[in-house]
Amino acid sequence: MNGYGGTILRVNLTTGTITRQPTPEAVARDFIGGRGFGIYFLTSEVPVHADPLGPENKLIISSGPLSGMLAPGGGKCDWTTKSPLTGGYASASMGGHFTAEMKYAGLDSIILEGKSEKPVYLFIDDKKVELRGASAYMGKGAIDVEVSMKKQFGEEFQIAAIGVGGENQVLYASINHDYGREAGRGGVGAVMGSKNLKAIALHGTGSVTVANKDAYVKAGKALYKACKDADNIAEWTRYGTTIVVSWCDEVGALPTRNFQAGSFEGGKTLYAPVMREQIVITDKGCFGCPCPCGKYSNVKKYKTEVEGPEYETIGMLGSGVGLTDISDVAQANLLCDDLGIDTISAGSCISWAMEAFEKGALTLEDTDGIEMRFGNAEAVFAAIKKIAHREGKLGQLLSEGVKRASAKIGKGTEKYAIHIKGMEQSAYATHNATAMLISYMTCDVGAHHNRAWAITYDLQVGRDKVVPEKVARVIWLQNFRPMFDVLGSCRLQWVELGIDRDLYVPLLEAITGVHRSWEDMEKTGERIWNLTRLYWSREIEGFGRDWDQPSPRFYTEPPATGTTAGQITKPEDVQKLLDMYYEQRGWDSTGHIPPETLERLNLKEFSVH
Amino acid sequence: MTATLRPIGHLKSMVNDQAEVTVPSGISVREALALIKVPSELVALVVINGVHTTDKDTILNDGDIVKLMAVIGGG
Repeated sequence: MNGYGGTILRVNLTTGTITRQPTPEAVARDFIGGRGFGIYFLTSEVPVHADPLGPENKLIISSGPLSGMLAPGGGKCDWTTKSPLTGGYASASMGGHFTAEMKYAGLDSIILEGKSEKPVYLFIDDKKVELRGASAYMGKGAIDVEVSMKKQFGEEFQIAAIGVGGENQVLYASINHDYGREAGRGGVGAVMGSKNLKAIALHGTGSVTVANKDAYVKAGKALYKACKDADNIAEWTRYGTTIVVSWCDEVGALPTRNFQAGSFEGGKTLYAPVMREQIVITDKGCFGCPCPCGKYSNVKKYKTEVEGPEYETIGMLGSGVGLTDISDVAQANLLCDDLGIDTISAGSCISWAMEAFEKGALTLEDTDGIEMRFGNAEAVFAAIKKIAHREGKLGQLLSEGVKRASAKIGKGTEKYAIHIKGMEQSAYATHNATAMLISYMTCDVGAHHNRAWAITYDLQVGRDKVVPEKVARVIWLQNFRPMFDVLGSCRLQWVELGIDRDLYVPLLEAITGVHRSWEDMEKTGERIWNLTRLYWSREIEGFGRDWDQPSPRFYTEPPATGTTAGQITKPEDVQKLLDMYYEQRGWDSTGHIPPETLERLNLKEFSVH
Repeated sequence: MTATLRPIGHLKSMVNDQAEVTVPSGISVREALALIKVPSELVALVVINGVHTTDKDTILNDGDIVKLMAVIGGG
């Protein structure tokens, strides 16, 4: 098949069996690749109600037809599994170079199943695939493992590894690659750890056939030219995602002390120019990227180096926990990456614990003697280490995520456990931003921002307005934006540089030989979105409307300070948004997909009801 | 005595797709944005003569070239 590696590699950790199967043409036709492949294999192969941390669950790593090709940012890799954090669908997108190397090794998906008796790592060098003992790597940081393996096998090998957090199956453990690129959300690292798989070392030297080489080169060059000609490429490259810190602070979207407000009085010291001047030493890009947004930092205060922090980390482990020194945020970022836990969920759990401590719901006995107060950097560092090691009362409590932690502690702390579906909300405060709120409420993995970043739409049409147009915008974004995760390339060139998305159409056609307009791909996106919803319904008894509810903080507690002081989304508007959303999606009022919608989307074969 | 605003991306569509708009100097960036009817909260980045500022109350001087970038995706 043009544009594909051609092989699905299946690794059974229980038996040590390694098998290859040709990538099914029908799956490539209907699901294209990346997260499309992920949800297809998850739904088709993982038994209903499988234990997320048991051998029956699978971890599915997928490239897409643009991965490793002449496409700006063709380095996106999808990691799909049943989430141990939420019990539902998890799909984490990781940048870097891993997915390109997969393609060159001829692999479209790597499906990890079973559980090894002893710690192992997976070694792939083109056709040579082996499980090797990993005892020497156990207990080591994810970045340390990457450094060691690169030394041992060579720089051309791409490494994905878990840290101590993954080994200990922290429910939001991440997988590190390329010294700070993370498959971060939903606990994919915990699933890898549950299989006793410490790392994957991967190298490929093969080529990928394309349908029309001349058209491929022409279309690829046109995309790169559009990126290079973008008016804002210099600024985007200089600051990356950190550009939005100041903007979020200005408009009241910057999470401040566990989302108690959306503007942070100490925010200015976290702004992009300050970070660039104080700690950034170079830009760092993923495979084939013309506008490298990763920032590599040298943190003199701690004598450390780290990729980042990105906006999300600054929001969750900076303003979210009350830190004002960008060096402290960078150090917290490094600890999370190396220990292997998601910075967003970790930040949320720590900020929840700080609020609970300051309100008296947690005591020094609960926190192992740590003064969990906002602004205490040492407390943040100590908590991260405890979480990754599941050490002490605090580490045990926070390693399970904020939903479980607050249920265990009670005392009203559930009201400020900021999550949806059990996933901690990422770094946009939504006190008065109804499009972004419904985006979070209906996101297919839990409260994550990247499916439908609709907060600008709130500002364009009026942030408190509850109108069908907002919901339609969110649905369009949910169908469209994740298609980049299907194609295996970065969406930021379209989002940030504003290049014409139609430039991707001839490229994809030249690579695969199949013409797909964006209208076609949005239909695929809609089908995939609905399949992820079916997965939630299948896995969770009683799943439905209750699972789409946001934290009450956003409709009961107006911030006391900042741009959004006194502003709140009305509780009735939250439900109105959901009603509109379900109606426009063709779902019933309980949030389930009725037979006629399944029929329209040709999804009946995946329904278990 | 004027400054030149250069809106980028979808901000340009708010000024009839003009690449440049001239405003009087001596007013703040925020006032200049109001003058050309671009909502201040949609502007993420202001670059004056090549230097990034996060302060929209900065006063524009005669001859300033001001690049205005729209808000972006954040990750």
